[in-house]
Amino acid sequence: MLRTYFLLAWRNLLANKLASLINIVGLSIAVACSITVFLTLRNFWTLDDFHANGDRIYMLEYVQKHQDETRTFGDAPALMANALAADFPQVKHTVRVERENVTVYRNESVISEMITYADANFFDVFTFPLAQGSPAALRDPSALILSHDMALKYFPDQNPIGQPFTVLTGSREQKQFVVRGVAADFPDNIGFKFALLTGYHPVHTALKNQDWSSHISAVFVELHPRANIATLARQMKPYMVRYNARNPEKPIESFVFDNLRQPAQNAYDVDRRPAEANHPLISLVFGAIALVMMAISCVNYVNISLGGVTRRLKEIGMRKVLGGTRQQLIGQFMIENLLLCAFALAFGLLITELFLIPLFNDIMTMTISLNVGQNGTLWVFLIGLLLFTAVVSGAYPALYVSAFRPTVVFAGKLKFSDRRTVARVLLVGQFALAFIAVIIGVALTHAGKQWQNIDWGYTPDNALVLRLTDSTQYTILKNELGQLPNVRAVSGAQSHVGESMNSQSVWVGGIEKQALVFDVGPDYPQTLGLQLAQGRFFDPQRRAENTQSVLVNQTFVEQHGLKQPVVGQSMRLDSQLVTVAGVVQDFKWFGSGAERPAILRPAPESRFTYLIADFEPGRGPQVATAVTRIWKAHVPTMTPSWFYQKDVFENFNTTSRKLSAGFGVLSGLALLIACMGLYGLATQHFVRRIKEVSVRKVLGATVSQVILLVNREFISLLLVAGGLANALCFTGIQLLLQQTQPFTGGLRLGLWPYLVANGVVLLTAALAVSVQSWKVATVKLAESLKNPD
Amino acid sequence: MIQTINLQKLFATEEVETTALNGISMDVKDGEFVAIMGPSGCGKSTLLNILGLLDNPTDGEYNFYGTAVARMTERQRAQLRKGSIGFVFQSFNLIDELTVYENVELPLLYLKTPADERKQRVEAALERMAIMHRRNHFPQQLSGGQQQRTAIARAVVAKPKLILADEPTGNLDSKNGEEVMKLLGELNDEGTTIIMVTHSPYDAGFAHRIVNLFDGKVVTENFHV
Ligand SMILES: Nc1ncnc2c1ncn2[C@@H]1O[C@H](COP(=O)(O)OP(=O)(O)OP(=O)(O)O)[C@@H](O)[C@H]1O
Ligand SMILES: [Mg+2]
Repeated sequence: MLRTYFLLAWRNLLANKLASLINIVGLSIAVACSITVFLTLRNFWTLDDFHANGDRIYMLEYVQKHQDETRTFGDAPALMANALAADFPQVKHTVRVERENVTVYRNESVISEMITYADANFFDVFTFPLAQGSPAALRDPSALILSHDMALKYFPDQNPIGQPFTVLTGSREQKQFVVRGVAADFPDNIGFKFALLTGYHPVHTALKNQDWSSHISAVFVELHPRANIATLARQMKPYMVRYNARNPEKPIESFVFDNLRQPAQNAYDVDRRPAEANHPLISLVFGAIALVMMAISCVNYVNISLGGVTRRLKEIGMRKVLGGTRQQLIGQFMIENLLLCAFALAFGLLITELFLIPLFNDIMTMTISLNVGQNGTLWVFLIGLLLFTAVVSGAYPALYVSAFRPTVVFAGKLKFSDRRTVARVLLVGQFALAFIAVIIGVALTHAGKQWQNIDWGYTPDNALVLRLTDSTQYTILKNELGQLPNVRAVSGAQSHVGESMNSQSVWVGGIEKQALVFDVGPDYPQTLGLQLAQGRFFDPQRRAENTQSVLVNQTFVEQHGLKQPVVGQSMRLDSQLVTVAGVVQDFKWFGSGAERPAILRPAPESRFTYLIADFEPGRGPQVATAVTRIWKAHVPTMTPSWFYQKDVFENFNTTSRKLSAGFGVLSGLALLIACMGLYGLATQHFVRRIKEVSVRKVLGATVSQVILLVNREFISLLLVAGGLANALCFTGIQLLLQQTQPFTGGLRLGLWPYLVANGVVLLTAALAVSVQSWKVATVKLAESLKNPD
Repeated sequence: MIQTINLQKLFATEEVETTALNGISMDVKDGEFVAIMGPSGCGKSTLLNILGLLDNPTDGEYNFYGTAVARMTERQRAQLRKGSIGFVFQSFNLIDELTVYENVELPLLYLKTPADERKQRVEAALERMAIMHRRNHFPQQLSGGQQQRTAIARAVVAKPKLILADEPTGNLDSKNGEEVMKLLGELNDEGTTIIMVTHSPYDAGFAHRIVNLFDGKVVTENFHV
């Protein structure tokens, strides 16, 4: 019996090649995306779950108020570690962790790596098994423990143990280490990890002379079992007081403990958090994409199966006549369906393994793997997915088919025109889904593209920024740097675009407004390359006048409703009356965030904490070397801290690029499924009408009349669906953009994605329509009229 | 007046080549009622399709009211067919989405008959087939006999010279079958030429002449009075 079921199922798959192909390919892609999303989300949600004592390990974080914003930071004061360990019996361990970028010279190439300094009890707290060596190596300041990846990278065909390993630290010291251990490969869901690990030992320059103002990457606290973290958190006040006494300019509001296994709600928003945490929005979007794809494939499946019902009426009728019960019919259909879904699952796994996983690991810089043997949840998920797909996509057609009694189908019970309306509504729904998938796909890809090409409002390529440590440095360094042949201009700032900002109240016409205020040198705007929209920049010659002038950005003018002419208007800032000298075009100070009103105000050189050098294109490295040399000559005790302005946004760029690439791939696939479904649907729409068309032709309809007839309905339904979907997407996306304004502020989608998406759908439809129209036009009357249905 | 000379029809599929018609020569005069009989698979439907210009013969000649049509294109045949041939099928072939009235009206729409004349002729046809009271029903809501009467109304509404019927009573009980045959007989009495395929000797009795086919050939012809 079962054998016949499978045989019949197999024949049915073969008999309807196009439908089977669309179903299997569509479902496989959807399944592959679901698996990938599952793996990604599981990684997101189980970050650092593998530490045996994870539920008792906490990161010490602190809250600070920056002007009007309260933010949490993960780089704890170093001295808190010993204080907590000494004062609280419920604290089992504290681990200090500091990280530093080092340079490794290998085979004539210069590689940048991250070295981690950690207390000797690191391996007691964290579950990082060592493949080679012993945790005791952390007691030896010259011993180094490599991660699995580092061992492979630097010692691909050699035992790393006992090998020397030289690095150049951030303070330009050469350090000779000996490799004493290699960690086992990290699990996929690792958030807090290391590459090169050595002991937290005061001989290392980065760890010298730590006091109450020294912050390090992390302070981890492991509690004894059954100890309560809330009790501990309530006793932090004295430490805060002690810290704030030493750091009156940047007081801490409170200390918080953030669990490794169950991160705080706002973990993604914690600055400098030592362990990764992901924004919930990302999970949401990934999940939504996977869900929409599964929905589309399943709806495609239902539709295509239902379309096939008429074709199979004879078989169904026969089975019933021959004594097939309803259960047997459902069984037959479900087995067919399971067979198809099993195929889809197999292909889906293949697509995931061969295509999506490498792609995702590449673009998301994380590791997901289909290690089915390793994790039970994946098995559960896969089997669940198979059953879900089979049941969701098969149940309705199965019940429909089995309940089908040719003589009573709706006749009498339902007016025929009603049934036709139902069919139309279903079709419109399906078309609309296709439209929606395509629009969302194109919009996401487009958004990603836009994010990459954000207009910063200035060209950051030729600016080098040096952080200053005292008030005398600027004047000296400016004079010397200004002499350099490759430097075109030098300026300074107290708060620098991309590094620091400061939100303040401004009174315009007696009304209080908020604006970001940048205190800058008089020639700072030109040096950075800000663009003037109205008026003039500060005049470096006229100091006295400058102290009463400000520049505002265009958003300031718009949001605060300044009337034209803006130049010459006055406002009160810090109880001082200032006049607008000019309006600059909007510029970004961080990432893609929404434009905010901003003011540039001149500041005296003595307050500058940044020096900005505008260099000749391509001369960055030369200028950097010169800067280091000049700095060393004047401040021999400290290493210079400088960066290229373009690196400020590099971080943001890479993150957004990765995300948009990830979304792009998924939505591209969704688009593919939607188009395939649309094609299948179009095919069906026409196949269903073959008989009607034949009858009409016999009755005298011309080919063109027939084509017009079948296309008119198809096209009008398509247009209705398109209208609905476009309206829905437009409002939806608009709402989403509004909700995510802080992240997506600058994002303007415009009409372009809609045009492209509609073009894609209409093109697919046009292709289907022309192929099918041709078939309809050339239908063999003698054959199509022969069969009852 | 229609005439065929040595009609051949071959169906070539991947495995086998079937000779459905193997040299059919026959004449049908205006106003004749011809029944075609023969065992299943002998080529009756194939012949009727060719006579009805729905299909081309592989070889042979076919003279349709003075026009040689055997090698015409589909488009030319469609042009010729329009309004001159009415079809009645065993499985009715009504359009499910249209009401009885709309189904019957269809041929006139394609002939571009003016609206008032159309209305009058459709109503006359429906009246004649005693289906007027069901004019706003959909095919699914009718009995088999009513559906076939609608199909006949649709076949005659354009006043064709020739009606082709392929087992018109095949799906009907004897009472409804009888009714349909009477209607066909009446139409023939009014001068319409009718060619009908049937398995029923009783139905064949309504015809003037019976053509017996076997394996794609005419074996006998019987004439009634
Ligand atoms: N499209 C086709 N392709 C291949 N063979 C065909 C096709 N149509 C008909 N035949 C073959 O031609 C022969 C005649 O078929 P036809 O439908 O004319 O038979 P029939 O006399 O009408 O039979 P019945 O009384 O069962 O309706 C059969 O052997 C059939 O298999
Ligand atoms: Mg037949």
